[in-house]
Amino acid sequence: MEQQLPDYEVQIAAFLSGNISSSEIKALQDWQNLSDENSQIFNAAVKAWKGSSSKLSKEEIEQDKLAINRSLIFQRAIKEERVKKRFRLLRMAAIFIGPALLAIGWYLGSTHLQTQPITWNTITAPRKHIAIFTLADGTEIWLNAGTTLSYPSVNLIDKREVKLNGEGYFKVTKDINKPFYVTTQNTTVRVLGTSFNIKAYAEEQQITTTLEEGSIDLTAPNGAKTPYLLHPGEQAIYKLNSGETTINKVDATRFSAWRNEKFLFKDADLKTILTELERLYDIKIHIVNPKLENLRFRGMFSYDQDLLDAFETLKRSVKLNYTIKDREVWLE
Amino acid sequence: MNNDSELMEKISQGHEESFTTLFDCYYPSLCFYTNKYIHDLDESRSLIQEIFIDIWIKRNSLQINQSLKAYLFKSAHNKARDYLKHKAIELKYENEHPFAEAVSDPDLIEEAELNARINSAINELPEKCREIFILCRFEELRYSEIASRLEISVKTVEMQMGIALKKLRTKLSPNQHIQILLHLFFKNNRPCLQGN
Repeated sequence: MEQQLPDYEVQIAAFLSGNISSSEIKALQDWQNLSDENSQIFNAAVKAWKGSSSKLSKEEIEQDKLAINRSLIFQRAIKEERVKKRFRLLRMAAIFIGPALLAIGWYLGSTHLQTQPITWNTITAPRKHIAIFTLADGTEIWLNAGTTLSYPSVNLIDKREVKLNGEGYFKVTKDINKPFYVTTQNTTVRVLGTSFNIKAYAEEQQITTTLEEGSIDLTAPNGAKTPYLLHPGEQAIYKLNSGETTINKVDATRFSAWRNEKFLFKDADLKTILTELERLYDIKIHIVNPKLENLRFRGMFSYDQDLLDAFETLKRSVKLNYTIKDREVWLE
Repeated sequence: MNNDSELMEKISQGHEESFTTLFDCYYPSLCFYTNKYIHDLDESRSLIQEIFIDIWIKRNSLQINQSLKAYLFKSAHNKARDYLKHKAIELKYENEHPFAEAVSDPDLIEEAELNARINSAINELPEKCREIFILCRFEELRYSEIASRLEISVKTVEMQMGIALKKLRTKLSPNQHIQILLHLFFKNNRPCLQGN
């Protein structure tokens, strides 16, 4: 087969790859000038040489095909999970209707039964979903993904009370005679009638209380000036390790954006964002390159976005790679 | 290609083989096309993968009001643009290469398709021939270096390079590409087409 190859093919290749002597170049030029066909062959060879400037091997193309398949399989897994959760949410709503009706029953009925021991009902918002419900007194409560809230099964005489583990937004119906208490593992908020947000996930080292309207008293352990009186637009952050509470002015609505199934972040470090993503998607994220931890981001995720969208969003603002395996993600 | 709409129709019905066909037909040329803008082939690959992932995910609701090819290259163009926008060097780059519409797309598309054809021709070269071509073209080794690395004569390298380039050159005609696509299409859809 090699014998069949005309000499000029060899010369053209040698010319294009720079493996030719000047005398051979001259010979090649003469050959080109012999006929139009020759110069066409030469030009086509130049075009082919230039066109081969970047290459994708068969193996690389196959790899990429697999990568797409893997992403799609992962995406499907998340989607199925989400469907399951939706069912769970429905079931939770159904379970809740029972106790709510009961509570209303107690409220309408007698209150002297309060001497009975108080039992607590618990409801939990599943991951990737928020739960919304109304207490017997008309108070509306939004629970962020993964949050648990307990409320007494009976109507108390002198107060209203709920226990929060996670993040909740409260729109408390005004009742001067019966203050509303929200207790977290460390702090207590006393309310008359108002809207506010509390973020108190057990695994986090702080409790953030943000007041939108009205006023609240915040009691924190070791607080010298406790209870703190918060005004609209103020946010109190209680640090578990130091026991200190700081109060800042903030844009309060931003901290309850999750009620619209959105996660907003403004100048947030990667750690904070990843903690939210872990909670939302029930995954574990490992940061391989510690330099990443200090990067700051602003942006938004929607709860109905897939995990991949979230990482792609991050990827757009900073150079990072992610590897996903089972329910774990490695970032570098 | 008229068959594109049929292909898309099948994809929207969840026909996985058609999706594979779409990938095989367009993936390399889309990568090369994006690479013309962003000059990073690995990055181009991940951007184009995103396009395919999107198509499959949104297959039920996807409305393509132009040719499938135009849609794909438009998406690739947008991906490249967004990518450059998000790069920190955005401003600097745009000053140097006014990106927006300055480059004529049809030409670039044609070039990308040509590159893809040549690329597949490289992949189809006989193994030894391909190895020599890759060492020469991409690792920029001299004939003598290739010869000593592979323990063959310089004469063989010369000859193999001649063969390689001749094969690539003959792949330049666009008709050949369409024939390959048609071949792929019919191969993958034979059971469905029999009914017609």
